This record gives sequence, structure tokens and C-alpha cells, in this order.
Amino acid sequence: MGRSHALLILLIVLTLALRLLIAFSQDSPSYDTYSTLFQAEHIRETGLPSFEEPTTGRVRLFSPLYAYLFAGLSVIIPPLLLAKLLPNLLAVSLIPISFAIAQQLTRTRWIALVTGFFAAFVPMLFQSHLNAAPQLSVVLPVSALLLLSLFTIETKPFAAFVITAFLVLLSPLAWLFVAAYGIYILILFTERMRFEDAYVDIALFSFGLAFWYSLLIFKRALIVHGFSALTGNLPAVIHEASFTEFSFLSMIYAVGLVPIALACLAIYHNTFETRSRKVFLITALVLVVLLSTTIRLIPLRTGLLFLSLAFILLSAPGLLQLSRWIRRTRFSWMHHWIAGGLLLLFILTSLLPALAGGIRPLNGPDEHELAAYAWLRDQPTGVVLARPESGAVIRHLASQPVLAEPSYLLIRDAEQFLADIDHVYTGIVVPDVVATIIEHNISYIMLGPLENAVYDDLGVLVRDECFPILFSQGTVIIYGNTCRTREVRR
Amino acid sequence: MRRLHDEVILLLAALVLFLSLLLRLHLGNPLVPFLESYMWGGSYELLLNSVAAELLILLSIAAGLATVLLLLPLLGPWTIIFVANPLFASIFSSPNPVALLAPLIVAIFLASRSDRIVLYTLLLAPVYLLAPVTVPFAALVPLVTPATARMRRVARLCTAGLVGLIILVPLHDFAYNPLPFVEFGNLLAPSLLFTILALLEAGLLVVERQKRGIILLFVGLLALGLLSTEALLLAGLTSALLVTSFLQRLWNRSWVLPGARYYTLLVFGCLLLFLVLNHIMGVGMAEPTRSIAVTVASISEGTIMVPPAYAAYIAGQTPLDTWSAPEDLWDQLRFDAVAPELERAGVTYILFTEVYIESSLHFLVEHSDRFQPVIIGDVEIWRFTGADRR
Repeated sequence: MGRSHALLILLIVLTLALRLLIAFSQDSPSYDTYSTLFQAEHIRETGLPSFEEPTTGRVRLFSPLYAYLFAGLSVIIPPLLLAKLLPNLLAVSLIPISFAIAQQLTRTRWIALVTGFFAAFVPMLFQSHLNAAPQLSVVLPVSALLLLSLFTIETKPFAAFVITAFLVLLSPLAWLFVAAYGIYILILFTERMRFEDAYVDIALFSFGLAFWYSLLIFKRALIVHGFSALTGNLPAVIHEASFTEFSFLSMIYAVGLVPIALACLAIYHNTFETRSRKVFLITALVLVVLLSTTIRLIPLRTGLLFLSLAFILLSAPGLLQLSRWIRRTRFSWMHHWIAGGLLLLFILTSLLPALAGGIRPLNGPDEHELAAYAWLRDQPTGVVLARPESGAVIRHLASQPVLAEPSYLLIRDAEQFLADIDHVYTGIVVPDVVATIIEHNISYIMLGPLENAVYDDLGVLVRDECFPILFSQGTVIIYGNTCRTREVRR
Repeated sequence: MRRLHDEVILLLAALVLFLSLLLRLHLGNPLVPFLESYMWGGSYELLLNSVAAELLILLSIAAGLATVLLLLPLLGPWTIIFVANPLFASIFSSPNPVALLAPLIVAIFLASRSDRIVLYTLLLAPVYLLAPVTVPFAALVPLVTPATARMRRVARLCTAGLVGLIILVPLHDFAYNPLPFVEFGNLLAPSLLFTILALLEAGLLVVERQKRGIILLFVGLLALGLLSTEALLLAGLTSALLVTSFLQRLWNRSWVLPGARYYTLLVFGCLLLFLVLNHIMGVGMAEPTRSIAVTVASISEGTIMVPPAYAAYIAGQTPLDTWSAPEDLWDQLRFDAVAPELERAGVTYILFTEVYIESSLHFLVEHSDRFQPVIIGDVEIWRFTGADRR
């Protein structure tokens, strides 16, 4: 084992220790993790994921492979522990994968090591999934692994097939790669470079599989919503919030100045000088992600995660070119100083913001919310109204059906649906609020930190006798409804 | 061996066409799918003296099988891809002019490669005559557009655009169709998969053989398809032929990775099977449904106001006078705006189908004492008791 490998292992161990330290300093995982925990529990009990909520008739459309993986692992490791361990292990796995890809791109170990260091501490990658285990936490390492397998496709073709199939079955984000293959072939065509038939093979296979699987899972959503199914049929407010405007500054903040600068250098140099097919492939992925984020096909956060990964990988050839260029100048004696300066710049612009962002309290239910869920668990079955973000945690911990979940697929009028939720909290005419509650068959109305953060002016809910307080502790109150519309009108 | 292929493919084509109709019979739905069929049926009646839509369906099926027969010598076993095109079930299991024109277009195309053009045209002339007057002109578009490919670029583009506009604009009732793909629930539209693959194949043909006519034809039909259902159906058939050529290309190309050819073609095969089976089910459950037929049959006299799309179908099913109310009337919430229109048309009943139950007019009807429910359910009928009664 060489010195670079020893340093790589040290980097992996240190990063994992740091991530786990932060993750275990929090009591409960983030809200979105509970969706995974709920599905895993459902699979362990019934063998199938929960695609439909019997009480409310809500249908959940998602690719179930990750839920099955999580359920399988949770047989060996307790689910809550797994929810903290797995995403951090997966995030750390990006370090050796980036190292291997950088090796493929540059054949230089110190550059591969620096790329691994970037992968560990780029702000967006470091802060994501510290205390959350959504599907995306697996998609990113698998995507990196797919890139690695594509670079070694001539020697290990079977690996590329298996990883492509795995990624397609894991998430619809596999379409990014399908589109990237198209752009890649187009780039080679315009550059008058020869196509590698192996890439065409993989592109055709992944296109067919992705199309078929997407139709299998999302057919109903496509029929009901048409093109808006591609963005999850999100109501305008939610769409604006999660698909916020993409800007170059937000990209620099998320990815870091040094990786972006080096990646730009690599793209420029590759386009006009080296013309490496591997770098063109990553460039194609960057173009696809940038386009998808700009036209708001994928959420900004997802786009930035993919861009972080792609820019880190591109920074390896960028660093190689910079190093060669410096060696050719009169300042070659300053080579080590410049490398040290770059590293210092990375620490200042990426590592420190990443650590500062990671140390902040992470988003998850507090002890009052957990107590409320425990109380709800002992109550008769009834639909709970809360913000969509806490839908999964209520379903999992309180075992009660919820009205709103973060997915809006197959809700015919999502705008009206969200307006109804807002109306219960902010409505000022009691009969109207009661009518909305009855229309949606709501039994419990939760007012916790998430709701208080959204609704500044609460309506009759908090002051009318129709809505008695059923539970109250700390920041959480649960209301009921004792009125019928006609009684109120009298 | 070749003969066996032909028979199996013809059998599969018949199975695809009849399966959707058998499904309709099984579900108790009226035999002829798609409300548009009844509109087209109405056009034929002028020429055929009240031939029912149910009889016209046989002509469509025969036209479908004739098209397959014509394509068999050209495509061989690959004709199966044309049959697996989801649109195949829609076009040839419902009476519509494109179904009747398809064998004619294919015959002319084939004949243009031989010296039997007159024979083919004469044989298919009766079919050509049966089609409503606008459709032969729509069919001219695919025939004219490739011809323009021989001209200079600017002239070609201008001619292709003008031919489409001049022929189609004055003769068609245009209706913008925002979802021109099967995958988005429009059963009378090409498949998105077929369209992507067809564009890919057309692009490859341009690059490899400088055949620009085919991409002009296909893109032109797709663009026109946003406004005209006939053009969309023709685009669907064109895409099926291009996809056949694309899959032939996949089969014949030299694959580098071991097993890649089989995995990929297996995936595409499953995808096509999935699409066509879904489509057969879609046609089986398409409007008009049993509930509309049963609801309408329960009323025997008076004038019934119906949504525009249903007018042609309901007119043929009931002795009631039907009034196809304009779309904006269904969006009215004010009784004062609705009542005079209903009085003027002499409306006694209003029919609300599943979609129109969510209309503003339905809300008005529910909350006004001058409307009484007659039938309540998936399909509703309300009685209008007059503007003056309070």
C-alpha cells in the first residue's frame, strides 16, 4: 500500500468520523428520512411498499428499490441507527470513487488524492444527508460509480450494464445520464471524433430501460397531469420554493470556488486542446444538469449535488493542466507553494463553510413533536392535518393517516388542495373552516414548529370553541373539531 | 418460412384490433370507441345514407389488415413493429378517415416504386371516395412534402409550410392539442417513444443517405398534429415505419459489448408489448362508456343539452333532440346568463359527464331550485324546470 492510499484511507476515516459525530449529536433524523423508515417498516411487515393510503385514498408513486434495500439492511441494523449510518457511509464512498475516477482521468496519484479531498469537503456534498437518508443519498454514489464503470467499459462491460440497470431502477434521475449520453454523442459528432460503440450500446440500453420503467411507475401520473408530472405536479408555491432561481453565485457557494475554477479550466482545455472523450462525457453531464436545473425540471438542490460531483471530477484534469502549465513557466520553483495556496483557498472557501453549515442544528422533529406523535398513536384512527413535510413522520411514528405528504402526484387540483390546508390554519370564517375540515375528513389538526414557521396569522382555529385543544406540550398543539357546518350556521 | 411469418403477423394484427373491441363488449361499453368516431361517422352518413358507425368499424379493421398485408412484402417479419405501434389499435379499431386512407397511402408509396400505380389506385379508389372531403387533402401533405425535398432549401421550406397551411387551414376545425402523445393519455396520438426513435432514425437517414424528405415529412406532420387529429394519426403511422427501420438497424448493427444486443432488444420488446397492451386496455375503456349509454337511454322525450364532444354520439343513441351547448356555457355560474340560452334552445334536460360534473354550470345547477336531479352518479341528468318558476 502506497503513501497515497494510506492518506486516502486516513481521509475516509476522518471524514466518516466527523460526519457521524455531527449526525449522532442530533436526536432524531430529518423529516424526509421518516418516509424511508415508514416504507422499510411496511416492507418488513407485508413484503410490499405502501403505494396507497387506505383511509385517504392517496396514491404514492415512487421507485421502490431503495426502500427494499433499506428494509433489507434494517433487518440486520436497527432502522434509526441505519438511517444515520447508511447515508454517511454512502457520502464517504464518494471519496474513493472520486479518487479512482481522477486516477482514470489524470493517471496522477496526488491529483487523485486532492480530488478525493474535494469530494469529502465540498459544502453541498458535506452538508447533504448528514442526518437524512432519502433516496438521493444512494443515487449520487451510484452515479459516480456509473461514471467510473463507463471509463472502464472496455475491460469491464458487465459492470456498466449492472450499474446502469441499478440506477434506472433506483431513481428517475437516471434520465440525466440518458440525456448526457445523447449530448456526449452530439459533442463527438460536432467535434468530428469517432463514436465509441460501447457507449452507444449503453446509451440505447439505458434509454429503453429508463423509458419502460418510468412508464411502469409513473404511467398514471403522466395520464392525469400530462407534462406537469415531470415536475411532480407541485403547486406553484412549493414549485417556487424548491425550484428556486438558478444563479452562478448559488453554484459557487454550493460547490466552492476552487473546484469550479479548475473544472472550467478543464472544460476549456479539453475542448480546444486535449479532446479527451472521458472529459467530454462529464462535460455532457454538466450541460444536462445545468439545463435541467435552469428549466426547473429538477430541484435546485438536486442539480447542485450533481454539479458538485461533476465539478469535483472535472477539477482533476484542471489541476493536471494547471500543474503542467506552471512547470513550463519560470515560476516552476513555486509549484508547491501554488499547490499549497490552492489548498488554502479551498479550505477557506469550501471546507470552512462546509463545516460551519454541517455543525448547525439539523432539521428533524423535536422532543415535543415526538411526544405529540406518541399521544396520537394511542388515539382512535383519524386523518391528521399537518404540513406536508411532516406527513411521513406522522405516518411512521403516530401510525395515523395524514392528509398531506410532500408528493403531489395524482392530486387533480394540487393548488386547491394546498389552499385548503392553508385555509384550515388561516381561515377566519368558522363555517368555511369547518366545511373544509369535514370535506377532507380531518380528525386532528396539528400546530407545531413547521406550521408556526409557515403561518404568521392563524385564524379561527386557535380561538373558536369548535376546535378544542386535544393535546398541548411545548411548541406543539393538536386541535380537534366538534362542529358540523349546519350547527355553526345556526 | 416467410409465409409462416406473414400469417403469424396477420393473426397478431387481427388479435390487436379485435382484442380492444372484445374488451369493450366485455365491459358493456358501446362497441365503437372514441367520441370522434361518431363525428366522423356522421360525415360518412352523408355519403352512405345512414350507415351505422358499428358497420363502419368493419371497414377500418379491413383497412388495417390491408395495410399490414401491403407492408408485409416490404418489411417482412419487421411488420410486427408496425402492428405493435400503440396507435395501430386506435386507428384501425375505430371508424375514422385515416384508417381508410392508410392502405391507400401505403399502396401509392409501394406502387410508386413499381409500374402498378394505376392498378393500386383503382383498387383502392372506393376507399378513397368514402373518406370525408377534407381528409384526402390532409393525406396529400405526406405525399407532397417529400416531393418538395428535391427543391432548393428555402423554396422547399416555404413550399412545405405553404402546402400544409393552404390545404389544411380553410378545411379543418382546428383544435389545439397540448398533449400529442399516447403516454400522456391521448389515445389518438403517436407514442412519445415512437416519436423519439423515429426522429433519431430520420436524423440518421439524413446523415447517412442525405434523405431529407423523410424528416421534413415527419416533423411537418407532427407540427400539423398540434392542430389536426388526422395529421397526428398520419404522423403516428409514419413514426411506426421509421421505428421499424430503427429497430432493424439495432438488430443489424455490430454490438461491442457482449450480450448488449440481447439485453437492449429484450428491453425494447418488453417496452413495445407494454405499450400495446396498455393501449388495447385504453381503447377498451375509452369514451363513450356504458354509464353514458344507460343514462341517456333512461330519458325518452324532450331536448337534452350535451357537451359538444358527446353530441354526435348521443344524437345517434336517443330519440331526444340534442343540443350541443358551446363550451363557454358550461363555465357559467350566473343563472341569468344561462336561463335565456336554455329557453331559446328549448332545453328540458342537461347531461353532465364525469368531466363536466366539475364544471361551473354543475355547481349552479346544484344550487338552484330551477333544476331538479333526474339521475345522479358518474353521469348525471338534471331537469330544467324553466326560467320563470320560483
